[in-house]
Amino acid sequence: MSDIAYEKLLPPLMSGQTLIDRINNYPDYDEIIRDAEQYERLDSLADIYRVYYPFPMSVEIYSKLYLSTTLSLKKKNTKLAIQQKNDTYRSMIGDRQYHGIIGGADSLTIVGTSGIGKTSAIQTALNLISGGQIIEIENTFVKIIPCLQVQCPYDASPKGLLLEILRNVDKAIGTKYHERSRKDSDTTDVLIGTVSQVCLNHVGLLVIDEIQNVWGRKSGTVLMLMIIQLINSSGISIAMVGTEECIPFFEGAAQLARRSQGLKYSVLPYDYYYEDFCKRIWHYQYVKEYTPVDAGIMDWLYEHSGGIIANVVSLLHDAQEIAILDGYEKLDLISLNMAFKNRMSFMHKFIDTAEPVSHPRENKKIEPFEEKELEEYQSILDMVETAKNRSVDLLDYLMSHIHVEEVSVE
Amino acid sequence: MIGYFPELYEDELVYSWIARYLVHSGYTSAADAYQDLFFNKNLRPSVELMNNLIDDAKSVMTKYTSMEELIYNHTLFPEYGRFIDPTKRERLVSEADFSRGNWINSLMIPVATGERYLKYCPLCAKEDRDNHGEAYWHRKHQIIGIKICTKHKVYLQDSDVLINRNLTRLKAAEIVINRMTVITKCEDEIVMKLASYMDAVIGSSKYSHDHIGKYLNRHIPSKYIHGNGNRKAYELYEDYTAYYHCLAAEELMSIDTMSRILRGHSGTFGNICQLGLFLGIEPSDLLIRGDEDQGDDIFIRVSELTGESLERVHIIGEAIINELKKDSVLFIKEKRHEDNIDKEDLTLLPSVEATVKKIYGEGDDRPRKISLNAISKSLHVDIHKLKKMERCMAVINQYYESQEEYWAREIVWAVKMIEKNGEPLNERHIRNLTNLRHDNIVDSLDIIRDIDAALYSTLKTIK
Repeated sequence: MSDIAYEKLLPPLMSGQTLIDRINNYPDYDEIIRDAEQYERLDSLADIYRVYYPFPMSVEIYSKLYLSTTLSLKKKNTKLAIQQKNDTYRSMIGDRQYHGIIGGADSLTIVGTSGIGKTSAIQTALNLISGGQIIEIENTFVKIIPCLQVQCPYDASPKGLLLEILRNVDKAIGTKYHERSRKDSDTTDVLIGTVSQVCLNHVGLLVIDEIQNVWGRKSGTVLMLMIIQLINSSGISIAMVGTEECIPFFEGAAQLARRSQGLKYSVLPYDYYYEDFCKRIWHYQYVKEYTPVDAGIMDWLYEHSGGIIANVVSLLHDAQEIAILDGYEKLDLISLNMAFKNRMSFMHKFIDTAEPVSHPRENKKIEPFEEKELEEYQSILDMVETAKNRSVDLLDYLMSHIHVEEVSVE
Repeated sequence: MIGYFPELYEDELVYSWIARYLVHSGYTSAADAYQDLFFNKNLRPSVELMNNLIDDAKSVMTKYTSMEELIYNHTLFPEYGRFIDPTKRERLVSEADFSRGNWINSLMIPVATGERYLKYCPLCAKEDRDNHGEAYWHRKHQIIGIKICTKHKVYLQDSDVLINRNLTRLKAAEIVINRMTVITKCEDEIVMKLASYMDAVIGSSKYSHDHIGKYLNRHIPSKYIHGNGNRKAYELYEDYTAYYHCLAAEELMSIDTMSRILRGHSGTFGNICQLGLFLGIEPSDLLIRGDEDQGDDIFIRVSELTGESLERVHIIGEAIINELKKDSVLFIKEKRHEDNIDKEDLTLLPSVEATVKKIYGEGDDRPRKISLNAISKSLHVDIHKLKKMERCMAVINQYYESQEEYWAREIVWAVKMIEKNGEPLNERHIRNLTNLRHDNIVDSLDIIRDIDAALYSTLKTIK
């Protein structure tokens, strides 16, 4: 057996500023564009979608996926891998049941709200890990795909996923596994064997996107069990990526829960990174009149995006697009509001326009509480307005004036 | 395109290597693996030798070792091709294709061996599993006549993989060989000696001639030689069978076979090694001495007997022979024999010319390939005598053609017949008439292009 350490053939693991510099992507921007024709500015406006900011999530995802890939690559080119291949073949020809000799490398989930940037983070990470290259080794002759990304079929079909893996492997290295596996005589059981062998030979890390498709489908459980078997029989690392819908599914059974420990992301907190991101992306203005960003705008953006980066970007893009098209030519709260009302109406019910969770620049002076005569207030709404303006707790304030009874709502 | 190929193990058969490729690849059927390797996915893999590989497979497999090394170190070619004509051997190796053509006639493959199965040594299998994670088919275990593993001195076991040129399936050793196998140690000295002898010969990089028997003949002890120089064939054979008493009757050669080999005819690897061991010849000597001039036999024998240098014996011997030639009966007999051959050559020449033309194919007759065998059978002439007839041989050699050239002639004839009968011209009709396979037709296209460019263009377009 050759003594090549496959994991050493990856680009080295990056960290710190080196990693940040490699992850981020800021398209070129020249202020001259603001004087260009309308069509040119609209065309260049699309650059805003190419901006990639290295949130801590991106760094964490990169590191986790890199380590998972190396763990998987370490298992290849070992005696255990050879034994596993022979055992899997025996299972394929019906000699015995599948069982894992090599054991799974690493399996994890990356779960997060739709739009927070996990797919972009994963894509960026995969590009950095593999360097866009296939690893080719001469002795033993093999082509290895460091990271392979596939999508979970919309119907959570196990056979569909297996064929999708084969198809993507063929696309990456020019083999014909998919073509030769599309026989009616090949059951899903046999196909699991084929995919196990192919993954053990050719794949470092398998990323299955849109895993939330398993939720609510009868075949979802079967698909998950099949993935577990694939992990055990192929020794590769598998990362399942999806939205929060799939969390109850993974929590449903111990073996699923064990295999799905990982990274969970929800909406962005209002913190330094958010502010820095806003300042950087705000810089990409294609309207004629430049406006600087301020705290009020950042607050508004946070509230109206629900803390979801994709929404922030969409708002900035659409606001500018509207401003350019109708001649307003200014990026401010007015154009932003227009974009929110007209272009994101479907998202309204999904966005909780609450105040920011933490506001680092909150330095409003809290006025001492003054009792007022009841007859000064015309309505409860007035009292709400007053409490808001005074930054006092609404419930306390109301209770100080009227009888209030708290009840729980289920 | 192939994306993975397993490592080649030491002394592994190419067949075993390909079987492991099937196991590791994930393919569900052998036909899928064949498509990656061979021109014809319906081909049966050769257990002992090698099939013709497609370019992609060749380029991958030769990353590990050259094609020549594959043939010499990972097939049974060294067994079957060890004692054949060197020119033939070179041609076979350069073609590197044992899936077509008449290579069977060129190699010394024993015919009446009964059913053979792939063999293994249980202890080698265990070692392989410990070292590599899997067992594989060792080449040396498959040599006809070797009954034991020379490393572990235990008897080789038969697997259930039948070696059949038409039916063999692709079976990897790891899948076939049980982990629990009876191990029987060999106690028989002769069996061990013979196995070691054959192992030493097979492992050598030197090759020999098809008339190695003459060298063996020179080393027959004098107790088996009459005063007139003839061999005491029966005594020799009796002692040979007594020496190999531990072998079964079918493992011994017949007295006729022994005589033929000692007269200089070709013999199988197993028979020659048996004789070599019996006569006390070192394996290395068996291979070094094989290519000496036949005419030096007597001089070498005298040189060895008298201790004089070969050169001195040669000078003296030539002088005596030339003097004797003038009046000697021997010389006259030899001369007469030569004259007879010459006369027969002249007499037979017209028949040979006519037969050659007839076999070659004229008019509507299906063309056949010209070979010595075909001519000698048609004319009822001994093939060895025919070989000595220079004029007849010159005519026959004029019609020598490679396999592809012959196929090209057949195709040209078939197309002519199809057009004459007014049938549609397609590949199926051509194949029905000629019995050729699709890849045979493909291989002969280049030659057809040189013969008939128009036909070549037509053939390229038909289905």
